[in-house]
Amino acid sequence: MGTKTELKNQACRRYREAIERLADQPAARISASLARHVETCAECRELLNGITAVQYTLDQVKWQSMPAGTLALCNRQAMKKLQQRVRESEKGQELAVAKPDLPYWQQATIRIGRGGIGVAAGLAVVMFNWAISGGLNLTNDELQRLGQVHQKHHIGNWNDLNGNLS
Amino acid sequence: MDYVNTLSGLIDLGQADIACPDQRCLLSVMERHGPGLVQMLWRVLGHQADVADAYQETFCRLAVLLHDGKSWHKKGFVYRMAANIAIDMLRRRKHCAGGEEHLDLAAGRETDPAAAADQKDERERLEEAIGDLPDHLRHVLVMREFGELDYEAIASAMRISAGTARQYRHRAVLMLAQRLNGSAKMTDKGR
Repeated sequence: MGTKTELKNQACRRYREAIERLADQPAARISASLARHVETCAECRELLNGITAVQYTLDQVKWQSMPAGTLALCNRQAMKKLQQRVRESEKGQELAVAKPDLPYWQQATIRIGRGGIGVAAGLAVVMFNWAISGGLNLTNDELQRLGQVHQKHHIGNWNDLNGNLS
Repeated sequence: MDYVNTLSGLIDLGQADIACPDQRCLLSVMERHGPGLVQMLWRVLGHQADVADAYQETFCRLAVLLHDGKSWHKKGFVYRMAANIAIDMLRRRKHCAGGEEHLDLAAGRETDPAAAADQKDERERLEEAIGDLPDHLRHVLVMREFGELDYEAIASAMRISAGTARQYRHRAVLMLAQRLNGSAKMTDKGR
């Protein structure tokens, strides 16, 4: 009841306005008369304390430093999520299975190209086999010929029991 | 440094021919407003994983808006959307019993455990009080105090005048002061 009477007091209302202005200017100084008033008026004191506490806590939150790398983590995660959403979207699914709408001549060129690549690959295998097996046969023949020459010149006919070379 | 490397990579990607205009636009918003947004989300949520979640959700919603051809290129709009998401997350967190430990105001600075606990209490009470503010006051307060946006940007995002934005912030602080006083009284009576 007493508080209500006090609020009706013109001076109290004036101080209250001054206190409320502190919400916009936290750095503003409290006048001596206001300081004296809040000592006697509980209502105004509570308001002043409340505003000061709010400003103080808001400042504390502002000065709280972020853990290092938070920004990089956020950017990476956001990019991943965006890419995932794009892939999962209807359009993304369509694109994943879509075939390009090419004119007939381009499709034909691609088919001919694919066929050509297949034929070229087959030919390459055949050529490789032919070259390798041909080379091996040649080497084998040559080695046999060299063996015969060697036998003829250095070993001779072992049928001669006296050990004379023919 | 880690951030610079990551983002420069993304921006390179954005400027490449393979990126469509929508992607380039998103990346440019990420480059321009990313640091400020993360800072604001950190101040509201105080938990790294929550900040990352809110940040990615913000960009996903922006991407949807961009896809729908809606204009959102103003800074205030992006901040408002992020603030909305963060506040929703705060509310959800409040409803989840035994939620994770978040922003410890005194971490690394306050050596007195009692003072640290008091500060934490104050922060929690403030968080709760902010959550109980009417939407328009809460948005202005969060964008102004945590996002450090000027009144013009806030006004543009909220489609109000700068003077009204200033008044909303004033009213929000007064309401918080009353709320905190009330809850302080309750706590004192409880003790």
